[in-house]
Amino acid sequence: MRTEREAQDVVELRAVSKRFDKTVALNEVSISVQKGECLVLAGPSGAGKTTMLRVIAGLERADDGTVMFEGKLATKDGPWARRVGMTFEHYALYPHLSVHDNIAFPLRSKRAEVAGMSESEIEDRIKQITEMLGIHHLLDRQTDQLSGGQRQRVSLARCLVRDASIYLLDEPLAHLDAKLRMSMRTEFKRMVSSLRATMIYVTHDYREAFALGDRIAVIREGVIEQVGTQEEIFEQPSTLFVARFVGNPPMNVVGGFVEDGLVRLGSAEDDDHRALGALNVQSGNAFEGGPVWLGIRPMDCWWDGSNRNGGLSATVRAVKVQQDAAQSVIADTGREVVQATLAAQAHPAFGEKINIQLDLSKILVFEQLTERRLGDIAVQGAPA
Amino acid sequence: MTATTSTSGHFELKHTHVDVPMPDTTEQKAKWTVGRILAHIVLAIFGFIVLFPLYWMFITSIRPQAAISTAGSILWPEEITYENYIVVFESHLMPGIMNSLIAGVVSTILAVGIGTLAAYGLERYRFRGREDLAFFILSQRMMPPIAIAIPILLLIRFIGVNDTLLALILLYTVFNLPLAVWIMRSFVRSVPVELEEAAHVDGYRPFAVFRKVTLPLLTVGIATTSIFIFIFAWNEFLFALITTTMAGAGTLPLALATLAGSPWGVEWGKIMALSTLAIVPVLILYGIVVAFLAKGVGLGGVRG
Repeated sequence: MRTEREAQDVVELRAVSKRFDKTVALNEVSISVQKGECLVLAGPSGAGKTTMLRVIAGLERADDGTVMFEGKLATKDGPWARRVGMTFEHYALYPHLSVHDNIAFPLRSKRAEVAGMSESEIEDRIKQITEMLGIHHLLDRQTDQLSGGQRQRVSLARCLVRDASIYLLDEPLAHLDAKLRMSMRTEFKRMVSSLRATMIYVTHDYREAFALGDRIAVIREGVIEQVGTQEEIFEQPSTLFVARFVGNPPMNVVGGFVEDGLVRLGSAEDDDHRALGALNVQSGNAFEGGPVWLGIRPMDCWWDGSNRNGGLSATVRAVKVQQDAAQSVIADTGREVVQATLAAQAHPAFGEKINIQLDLSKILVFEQLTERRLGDIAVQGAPA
Repeated sequence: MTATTSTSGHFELKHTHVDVPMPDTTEQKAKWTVGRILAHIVLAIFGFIVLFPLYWMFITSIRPQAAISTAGSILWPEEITYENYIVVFESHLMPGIMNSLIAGVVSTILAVGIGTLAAYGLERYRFRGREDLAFFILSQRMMPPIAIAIPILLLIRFIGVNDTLLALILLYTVFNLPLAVWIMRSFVRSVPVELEEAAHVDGYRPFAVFRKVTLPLLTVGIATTSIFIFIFAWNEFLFALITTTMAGAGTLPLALATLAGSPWGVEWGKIMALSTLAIVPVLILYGIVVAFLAKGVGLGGVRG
């Protein structure tokens, strides 16, 4: 897919910053979106995702930095001068217009690419888009006669009806109920790949991001932490934040330190620390030792009932029983609470001391100070 | 109608409309509880207190002058005459109604028009001193008109519009503008900014957005504000008294006052006929606006 696409940037942000009073919403953000790509902006609420979308749409003006639109400087252009389509989190349907007129609204503007469109052309476009979204029968309704899912589709139709160079979708599924969200996600995916449109999709849900994004940008406090494919984000998170943001249940993080080529649990001051494994330094690394965070996903650590040596010793706090997934145990190491997968035959008692086994090769090492992943370090071998 | 006079506009109206129970279903009819009966009695008393003076005004206006001053039934006229109306229509008082109408309508259009634009600017654009400016505008209304009556008169004479409708239109517009700005501001606030942003993204420049999105959503607010402002202008007496005469641009309140002080004593019949006529335009306006509001509500709420 990617090779078919022209490697042309539709939108490019260069060191864009945006402040609201003293809050920094975007801090020197640089990113580009290529033609035909679906870029997902993911991050917790308040991370600056919507602000970024609004800067691209022209609804907010960047305080610093530049916004390029199809190779042209657009930092100071108003939204009406940019070829963008956008949906809003709360849909923003015009209440005084019917569904039909809502969708026709962008086609009746004076914008260059739609100026002079005849009414029959407008009707054709509306028919095409509403049939694709399955809302053709709603055209005569007023917007207050629509359900949440229908509103969402109408707002999507209004966004997609115009031939924009980029479509900006702000949490389009956020306010739907869980079941509808799941089915819409699938439908969206089908639509995204069939439209081959360039889009930026904002979400706080990493599963949505993984399902839809060609690339995913994880954003936190106005800074892009990492941009990459689903695999890159999940398997090689560049920071502790990204590692924790993706995956459910979230990644376990335990304190450790590196000394003499060995990874040890706990901190250097403790007496009872235990070596987990040897460090494998794959390339010349500047990191010589010191406190680290060790990240391991619950699916990569388990307890099978046998308390073999090694691993992580912890006290059982709870057992999570799930109908559709393996049971898991929540245990307290004395420093951190961790979650591990339970083997079918294992039945830990509350308060029992267990030794959680770890797949050492799956451990990610993050420097404590910067919370950045030490990419060329892997934990290896049997505990000393 | 309380909701229409609240300043929050469209949204509440919508809900008020929905919440009205349907009284003519059989289920509802069966529930004649003590509380309901008491409530109706209280409402009937209040209705009587409000409506009886109007009724009295009307029946007095259709009685002969002689019958008014003699003792008799106050509840219905023994003899009906249209003489009072004929006299009023043929007298020099009639232009007063026209003057009031013109001054009221023109100044309402100006005040609400300018007020809506000002309110939109104050509400939607962030600038330094915005709240101070808004308060300054409102403060213009705090001065009692009588305190500046003399300067106003001098000013009106200075610009040479004494005893003209232009003077009244100017004065009513200027005096009602602060109120129009303040009422319209809260209506503007109730239109979600997101809708305007959506229209910008849809390719519309700021003024087109105002015209195609904001203004249609402000119709309820504009109608409500217009009633307020028109009634203020319609009732205004002080400025009409000091700047106009009945031979010139005198208005209806001035005409009524003239009748009360006529050399033939207080002519109740004519006063009541003129008073009845004074109510008619307000009632018509009210009817139009109510019909309009019902339509506006039917157009749908502003729920995202």
